[in-house]
Amino acid sequence: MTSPMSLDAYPEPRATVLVADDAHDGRQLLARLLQLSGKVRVVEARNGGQAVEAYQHHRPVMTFLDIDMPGMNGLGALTAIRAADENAWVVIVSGTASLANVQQAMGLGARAFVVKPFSAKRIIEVMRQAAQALGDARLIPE
Amino acid sequence: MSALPIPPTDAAARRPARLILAAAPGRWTGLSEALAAAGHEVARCDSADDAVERALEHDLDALLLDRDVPGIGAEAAADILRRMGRELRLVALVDDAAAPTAPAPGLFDDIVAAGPASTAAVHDALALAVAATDADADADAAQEAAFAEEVKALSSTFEADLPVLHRALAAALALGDPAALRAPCHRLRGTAGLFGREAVAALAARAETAIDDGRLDEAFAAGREIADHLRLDPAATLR
Repeated sequence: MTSPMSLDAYPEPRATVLVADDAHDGRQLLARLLQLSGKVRVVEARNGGQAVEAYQHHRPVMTFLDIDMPGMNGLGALTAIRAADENAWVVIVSGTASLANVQQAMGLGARAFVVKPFSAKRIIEVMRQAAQALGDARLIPE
Repeated sequence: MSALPIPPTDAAARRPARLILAAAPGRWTGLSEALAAAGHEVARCDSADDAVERALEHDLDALLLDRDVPGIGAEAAADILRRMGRELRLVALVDDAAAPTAPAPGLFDDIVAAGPASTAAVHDALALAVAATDADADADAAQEAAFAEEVKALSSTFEADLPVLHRALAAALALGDPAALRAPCHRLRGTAGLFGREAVAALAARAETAIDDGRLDEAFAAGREIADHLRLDPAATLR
């Protein structure tokens, strides 16, 4: 008689988080912080168009979009992603905290607005809120 | 907001709060002076718009909003910060808490009315704010330390690229070529601040925005300032 398979043999899959930024350093730093903060797998995109494709392919739990990207920018990608999925949890990342941009992002359905240079504290803050709203404990540190 | 722990009764155990007080000039000056005298880090701004922008940019414990602050208004500012996931204690400062137009409870953590008890009420609110921030900081300390190590590791890559960026800037300035200036500015705008060069990031943002708006004199002036900053930076020494 074979022994039952241990549940530990099937670890919980990591949450997929999409990070879109044309700056390699910014993408890498944010990706690393997300991995430190939760049980996540990061998918990267270098512009808004790639972000929209990656969203449709991977259906991430959370998406971080830099506002300033060549071609389709972050707000354009936010619009396209929310059109495809009205429940998409999208965070806009920007080098400046211009109220006009914040209001526009909010109007387009962004759930948070993070200003660069972002601190670990701020990223953990937005992940914690997403975890509570989505009921996904993988987004917060143990 | 997460559940708040009971603050320590020993006032000396609490660190000073970092806060912004948003009010029209001349309003609530007694309060801001009393808070500063008690050791809190108080920054003032005179519009709700500015308060939102600064609250998103800086780590703070609390934001005090005068009910009649100019701009988009105290309630709109509070709503934006709540919806954009900003965790900090929001305190409404009102002339009369019982007035029909007092802010609705729920949007603000505290509503403090002008009067003899207002300073004490704000001190109590700040104690709770500091306790909440510090509780989260304790929980997040491991991630913050690990992140600091990651920044240090990645900064060496960035610094290795600085001489190249400096050369690109210098060439663009010499040629008077805005398109050539835009590329290094875009890179610096998005990254320099992540590695401690906030002044360079701000200048790069100014230059890039000016290029996009056609204000080329301003763009090249900002570009020259960036080049000066990098010229004085040992990591960016031209080779």
